Amino acid sequence: MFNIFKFLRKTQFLVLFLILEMIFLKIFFHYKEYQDAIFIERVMSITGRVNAYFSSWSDYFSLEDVNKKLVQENVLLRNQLQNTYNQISSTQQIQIDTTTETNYRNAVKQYQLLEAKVTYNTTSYRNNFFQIQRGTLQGIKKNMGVMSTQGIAGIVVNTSDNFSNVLSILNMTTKVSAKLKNSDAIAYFQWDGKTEDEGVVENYPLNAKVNIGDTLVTSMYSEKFIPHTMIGTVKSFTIKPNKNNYTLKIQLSVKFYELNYVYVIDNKFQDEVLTLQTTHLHHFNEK
Amino acid sequence: MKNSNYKKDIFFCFIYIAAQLLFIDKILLQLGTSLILSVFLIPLLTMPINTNKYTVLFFSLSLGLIVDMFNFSVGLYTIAALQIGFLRFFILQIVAGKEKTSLEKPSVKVLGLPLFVFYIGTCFFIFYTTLMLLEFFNFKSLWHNMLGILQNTIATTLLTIGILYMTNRSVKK
Repeated sequence: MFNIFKFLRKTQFLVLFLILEMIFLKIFFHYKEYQDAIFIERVMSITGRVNAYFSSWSDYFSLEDVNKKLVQENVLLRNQLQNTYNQISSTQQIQIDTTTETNYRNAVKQYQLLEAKVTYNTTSYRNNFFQIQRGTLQGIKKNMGVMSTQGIAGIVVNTSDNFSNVLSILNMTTKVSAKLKNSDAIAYFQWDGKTEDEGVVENYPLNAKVNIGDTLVTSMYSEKFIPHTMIGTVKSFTIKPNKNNYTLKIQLSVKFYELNYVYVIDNKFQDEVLTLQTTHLHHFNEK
Repeated sequence: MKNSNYKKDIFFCFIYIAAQLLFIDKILLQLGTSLILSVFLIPLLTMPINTNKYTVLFFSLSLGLIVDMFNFSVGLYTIAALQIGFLRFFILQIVAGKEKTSLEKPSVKVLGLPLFVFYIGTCFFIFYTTLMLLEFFNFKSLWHNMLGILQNTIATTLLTIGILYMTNRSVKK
């Protein structure tokens, strides 16, 4: 017994180090994917304010880029205005009033976009995220999709009153249901952790026609993103021996190091779809 | 005199942490590079050689926790910083000699340039290896990871030596 105490006394520095390491290793592997980290929500309200303050300073340096993007987006929106279309008589009946929402008779608005400012962002890690200055008080909920003007950007994982953490698609745990614009075949897009402007689509069906430069968009099966939202373009593709599918290397459309403003996608039917899916799974498991 | 040194050290410690979180990370992001330059470790690496090893361990724990809090990395930086807090004592024994205990801080002047670069480089190498292995827990992309570790170690070592040279010069003035 005495020898054990003597040994512990001799090695107490090593023991202390090992205990501390084990505690933090356990915390790290338990909360690795951010999802259930309750204390992150608490920390977020403090660090969020600091990040927001300094982000307002650094914004001055990127004003030129932001302006350029706003002009491009304005052009895109102006092109969608009613008066840029040729109004033939059969479509005139849908002009009930001037707002976009009621222009389409019997149609229900499924997606509502909420703009948000990016206050913190990482791109150099294997699991990247960014923080936005919008939280539960502004209607942000967990699992909402986030996009920029250039394409999809991430998924909301934590929210506090005024801030939210978004798991960037530059994250090896995020999978997005995707398809090529000119094809109906669907596969998952995932980041491979190598460079911040490339991702991969594995197992894309061989019967689909693939060309370099083809556009990869979100499929209609993703409840977090608006269908047909840009993800990127095909940079190269390979067919592995003895496999009946392609591996596509995708050039991402979003430049993550330039992310200043994003849109959070509020899918009005998301809860309904998820409830139905969970009920179905529950029913299936019971059987 | 000693008191004013402590005040100066605490002031620089805050400066390094603030520079890390609010400037260096943001500049690297704007440049679109995958480099990680962890200058917040400078106060830990430049603590006097004979500092109590428990003090060093708890200081490394605090530094890691602060950076984790801002990066939402839940323990990643704490684990890596603790490694340095633990191993610093042994690396300094190799570099500065077992018998030699000094009140002075490890620097180019005290250790000489080759030994100081070895000390700083080894510490950063251990730090980035831990960081990369924890973040990317597989050996599939070992070559890619090794390249990242070396690139980050060399860049941070050079930056640290540059910063220490500049701060020493401005303090002397």
